[in-house]
Amino acid sequence: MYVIEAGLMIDGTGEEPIPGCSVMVKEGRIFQIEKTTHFQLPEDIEVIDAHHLTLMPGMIDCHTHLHFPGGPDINNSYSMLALTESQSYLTILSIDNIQKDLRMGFTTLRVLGTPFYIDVAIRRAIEEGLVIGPRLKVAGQGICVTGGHMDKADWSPDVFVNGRTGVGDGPWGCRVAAREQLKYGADLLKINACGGSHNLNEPWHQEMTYEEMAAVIEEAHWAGKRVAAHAHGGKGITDAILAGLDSIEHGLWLTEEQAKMMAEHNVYYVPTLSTHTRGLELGKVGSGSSEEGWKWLVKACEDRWVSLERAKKAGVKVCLGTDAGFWMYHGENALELEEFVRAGYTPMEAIKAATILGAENLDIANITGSISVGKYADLILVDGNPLEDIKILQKPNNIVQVYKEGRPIK
Amino acid sequence: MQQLIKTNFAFTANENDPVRKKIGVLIKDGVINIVDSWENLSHLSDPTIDVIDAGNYTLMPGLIDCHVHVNTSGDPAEKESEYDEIRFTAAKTTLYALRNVQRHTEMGVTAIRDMGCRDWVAPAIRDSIYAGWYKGPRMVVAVRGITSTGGHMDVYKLIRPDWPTVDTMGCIADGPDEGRRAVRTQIRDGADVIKINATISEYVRATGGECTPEMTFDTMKAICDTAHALGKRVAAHCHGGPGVRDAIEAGVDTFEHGYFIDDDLMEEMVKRDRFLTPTMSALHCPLDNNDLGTEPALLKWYKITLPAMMGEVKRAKKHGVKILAGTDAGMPYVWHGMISQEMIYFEKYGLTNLEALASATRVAADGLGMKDKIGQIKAGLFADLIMVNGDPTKDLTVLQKKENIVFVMQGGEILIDRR
Repeated sequence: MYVIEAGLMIDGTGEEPIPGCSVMVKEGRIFQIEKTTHFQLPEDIEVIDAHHLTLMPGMIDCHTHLHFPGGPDINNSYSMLALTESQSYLTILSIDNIQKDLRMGFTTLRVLGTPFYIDVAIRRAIEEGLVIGPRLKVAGQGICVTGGHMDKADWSPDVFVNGRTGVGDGPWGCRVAAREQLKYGADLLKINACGGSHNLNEPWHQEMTYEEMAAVIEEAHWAGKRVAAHAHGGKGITDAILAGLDSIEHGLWLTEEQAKMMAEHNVYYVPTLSTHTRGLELGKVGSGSSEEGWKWLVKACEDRWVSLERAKKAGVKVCLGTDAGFWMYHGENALELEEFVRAGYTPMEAIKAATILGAENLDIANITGSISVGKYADLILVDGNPLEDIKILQKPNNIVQVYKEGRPIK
Repeated sequence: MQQLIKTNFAFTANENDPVRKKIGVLIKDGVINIVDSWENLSHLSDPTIDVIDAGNYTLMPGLIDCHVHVNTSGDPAEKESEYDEIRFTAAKTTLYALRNVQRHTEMGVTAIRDMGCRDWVAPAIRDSIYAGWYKGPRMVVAVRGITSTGGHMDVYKLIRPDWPTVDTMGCIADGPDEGRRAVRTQIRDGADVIKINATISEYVRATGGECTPEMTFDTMKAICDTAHALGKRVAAHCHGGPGVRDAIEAGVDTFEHGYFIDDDLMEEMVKRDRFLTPTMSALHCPLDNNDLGTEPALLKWYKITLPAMMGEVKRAKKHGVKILAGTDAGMPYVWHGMISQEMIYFEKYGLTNLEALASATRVAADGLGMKDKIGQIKAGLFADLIMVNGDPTKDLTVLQKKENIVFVMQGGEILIDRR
C-alpha cells in the first residue's frame, strides 16, 4: 500500500489532467484518487514523492510479436525463425523483448502471432509470477490460408515446419484451426484477411473468403473471444467487417464506406503507423525490400494518412499498435504516439489511443487502461509532460518508474 | 421356465396404478407374462412354477441410471493419481470398470447408460454380461463421446500441443463429414446410443453465462441424421442457450445436464418429445461432500450453476418435460449404484416420490428407447425386478442402503437374494 503524490495526473480517459494529484494503491489496485491538498493520508503509509513528475496509465501496445528481435534484417529472416531457432531460445528472447516494452511503460501487450504456443506459456509464467513482464493477451499461432501472409515458406516444399502458424483452407479448415488455437490457450484469434500486392493500382489482395473468416469469428465469439485481422484494403476488409471482425490491423487503404462500417460495427483500428515509418526510414536496402516491395511501401506510407483521416472522421476508435519486433525494436513502442500527433491528433487523443481505447479493444477496460478506482495500478511516472511534448515517452530516462498491478518495475 | 412372484406391496411404475397391493407376477422365460391380483393367480398349480414370496418387501422394477461413466469410480479414495486416464493400461481400465458396473447390481440398478468410456470397455463389459460371463446390469453404451477440437471431451487440451493426439474418451469430429464418420465409427465399435457435446462450460464462463455452441448446427444435424438412420438415439452434453436450440433443431433426443435450458427451450423440448437428464448428483454430491475444489474460476462457475441446477427439475416439471434419472456416476463423489441419490434430489427440489421413482424406471426406459422392454412391472416387459426392505413410495432413502436391496432379478435370473 502506498500513495503517489504526482505533479500532474493524466487518467487516460481524455478528461482534463489534474495537477497536484494523489493516487493511493492498495493490493495492486487503485484505491483512491484525490487532489493532494485534500488527500487524507493514512498513518504510516509509504508516500512516493512524484511532485515533479507526470502520472499516467500504463500503455497498451495492440500489435506486437514476442519473438521478433526488430531491426533491418527482420524482413528476410522473420519467417525462418521458427525453422532455425529452438522453442527454448525463442522463449528466452521473447521474455527479454517484452521486458524492454514493460520498462518503457507498456504494461499490456497484445501478441499477434507466435510459434509453438510459447506466447501462452509466457503469459502464464507472468501470471504466476515466475517472470516479470507485461500483461499479455495472446493470439497463439494466428490463422492463415496455405501460402498466406503468415505462411511464407522460404524453403523447399518438402521441409515441414510444424507449429509455426495455424493453416486452414476452406471454412471447416479455418474453423478447426480456430478451435485448435483456442484449445491451447489463445486469448483472441488473429486472421489474415488480405495481404499486400505489388499491383500499385490495387496494392492488396484478399486471402481469406468471407466464409472462412466467418467460421473463425463465429468460433472465437462462441468462446467469448475477439478476432483481429491483418488487412490492407479492398473487399477483404468489407468481408471481414461483415463477418463480425473486432479489430483491423494496418488497414492502409480504407474507403470512406469501410470507415463508416467500422464505426457502425464497433470495429477497432490499429494502423501501426510506426512500423511503416520505420521501414521508410531504413530505406530500400535497410528495410530488406525488393524493388516492387519498396514501391509498395512508399505508396503505403503516403496513402495511409487518408485512411486514418477517414477513420477519425467516421468516429472509428483508433488504438496504438507498433508491430513491435518487426522493424521496430521492442521498447520503441512510444513512437506510435508521435506518429498520431504527426497525423493531426492531439497528444491527449494519442494518449487515449495508447491507453483506454487499447484496453477496450482487448476487452480488459474493466481492469486497466485508465487511472480509475478499482482498476489495476498499471502506472507510469514520466519526467516531463507528454501533453506538451509527446516525444518524451520515447526516452528511457524520462520513464522514471513503471508500475504493473502496483508493483514497481524499475 | 416359470416363476411366480407374490407380493403384498408393489410399485409397478405403470402410469395408471403405479402402486398396487397383493399382486402376483407370473414370469415366463424371463419375460413378465401376467400381472394380476394374487387372488386371481394363486390357483396356478403347475408344479414347475417357482413361487417366490416377497413377503412384506416392496416389489418394484429394477432401477435405471441414464448417465454413467464406467471407467471412473467417483470415489476420490479410489483415484490413484491425477493421471489415471493415461497411466492405466486398457486391461486395468476394463477390470476397474467391471467392478464399477457390478456396484449397480448391488444397489438394485438393472440397467445403465454409459455416456463415454475409454478403450472400448463399455461395449466389452456389456457383451460379457449378455454372454453370461459376469453378472451385471443391462448396458446401453455410447462408446466414445463425439466432440469438437478443444471441446468438452477433447482431453488433449490438457497435454502439450506438440504431443500426438489419440482419441480417448472423446472422438474428435469437426464438421458434418467428420461427424458422420464419428457416428459410423462408434456404431461399428458397438454403440447403442450416440453421445455428443453440444455446449462447453468454458465458453459459458467466458461469455458470462451465454451458452454458445461447441458444435455447429450442421455438424449436429449430420450426426443425428446418421445416427437415427442407423436406429440409434443421440444424447447431448449441454448447458442451454443457442447451442441447445441448435441441438433440438438438429434432432438430439436426450439432453444431459442442461442447467441453463430456459423456459422457451423446455417448451420446444416438450413439443418435440425430447428428454432431459438433469444429473443433479454431478454438482450436488461434491457440494454435499464440501469439496468443490479451490480453483477460483471453478468456484465462480459453481456460484451460477448450483442454483440453476437446483431450479431445473421444478421448471421441467411445470412445462411437462420428460425427466430421466442419471447420476453422472464416475464424476467426483458420484458413486456407481447411487441412482437413489438422484431421486432424492429430485424429490427435494420439486418432484413427488412417485415422479422421482418414475424417472428411474418407466420414463428412463422410454428415454433409452426401451419402454417395451424394461422399466415397469407390466406384461411383455423383461422381468427386471427388485425387492426393497421399506416403502420407497413414501421414503426414497430406503434405496440408499445396500442391505435394503434384498432381491435383484434381471430377465428372470436371480442375481441377488438376501431375503
